[in-house]
Amino acid sequence: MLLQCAYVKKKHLCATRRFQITNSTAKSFGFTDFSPTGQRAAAATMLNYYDAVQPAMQGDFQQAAWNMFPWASMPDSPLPGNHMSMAAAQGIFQNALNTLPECQ
Amino acid sequence: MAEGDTMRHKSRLGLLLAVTMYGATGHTQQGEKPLQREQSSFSMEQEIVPIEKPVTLPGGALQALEKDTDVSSCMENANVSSGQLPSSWFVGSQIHLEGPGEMDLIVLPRNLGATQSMHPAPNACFFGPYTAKFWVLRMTREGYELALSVHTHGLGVLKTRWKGYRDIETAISSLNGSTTTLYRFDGQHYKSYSARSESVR
Repeated sequence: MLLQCAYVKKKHLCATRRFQITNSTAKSFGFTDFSPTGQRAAAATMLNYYDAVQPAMQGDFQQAAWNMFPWASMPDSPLPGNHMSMAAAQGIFQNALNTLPECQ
Repeated sequence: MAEGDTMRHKSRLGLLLAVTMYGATGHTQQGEKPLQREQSSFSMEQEIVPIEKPVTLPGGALQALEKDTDVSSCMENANVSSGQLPSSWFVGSQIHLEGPGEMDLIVLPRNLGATQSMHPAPNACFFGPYTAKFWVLRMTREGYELALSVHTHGLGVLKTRWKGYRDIETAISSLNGSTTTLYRFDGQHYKSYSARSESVR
C-alpha cells in the first residue's frame, strides 16, 4: 500500500506519494491501483483530463504547464502557494525527455 | 520516499488538517441566543471529515452555482444543458454566516465515484489531485448568491467577523509547503484578505 497517511486528531489524512492524489480524487476518477505503475497511469489520466498532454506532444510546454494548474506548484497556478518558474518546469520536462527510458 | 521526507510531509498534512479543524464548533454571537451547533470545518476528503448534516441543494442554490464559470464549464463538458444542473453533483451544509435569521450554505462536490476504473465521474471536473471546488452561497432577499468559489483542500468558517459576516479560512498544501488564506466579506462577496505560507524545504 503506497498511500501516505498522517494521523492527526484521530483523523487520517492520506495522499499518494508521487502525485499527491487523495483518496477522494482517486475515487472520483476511478483509480484503484496504487502501485508505482498505477500511480503513473493515474497521473496520465488526470493530465489527459486537464488537456495537458496534447499541448506537450505538440511542443507547447507552456500551455501544458498552464493546464496542469490543479497541481499548485506548477507555474502560474491560480492556487495559492509557491509556484516553480516556467523555466524550471521546462528544465525538468526536458531533463525527463532526455533521460527517461520510455522517452527515448 | 526517505523517512525524513515522510515526516516532513506528515507535518505538513498535520498543519493542513489543524487549520481545517480550526473553529470546529458552532458559534455564539454576543447578546444572541446560542445557535444549535453547526459544522464549520470542511475537507475535500469527505470520508475523513464528512458532512455531518448533508442537505440537498434547493433550486435557487443550483441557479446560483450555474453562474460560476467552473460549474458552467463542467456542465458543458458533461453535456448538461443550462438549467439542468444535477443536484446530485453536490452536497451542502447549512451555516449561519451573518446571524440566526438567514441560512447560508457551504457546498462541496459530492463524491459520486467513477462509473468504472479510470473513467471519471461526471463531476470529476470539480476535483484536483488534492483539492476540490468549494462554494459558499449567501442567502439574500433575492435568493442565494454565490459569495465565494475556491479550489482548496480544507475550509473553515471562523468566529471572527468582517462587515457582519464570519471570516473564512482555506488551507492547501503542495510539495512546496502549506498556504492558508483568509477571506473576508466585502459587502457582497468574500475576497482574499491575507495569506500565509509555510515552506517545508
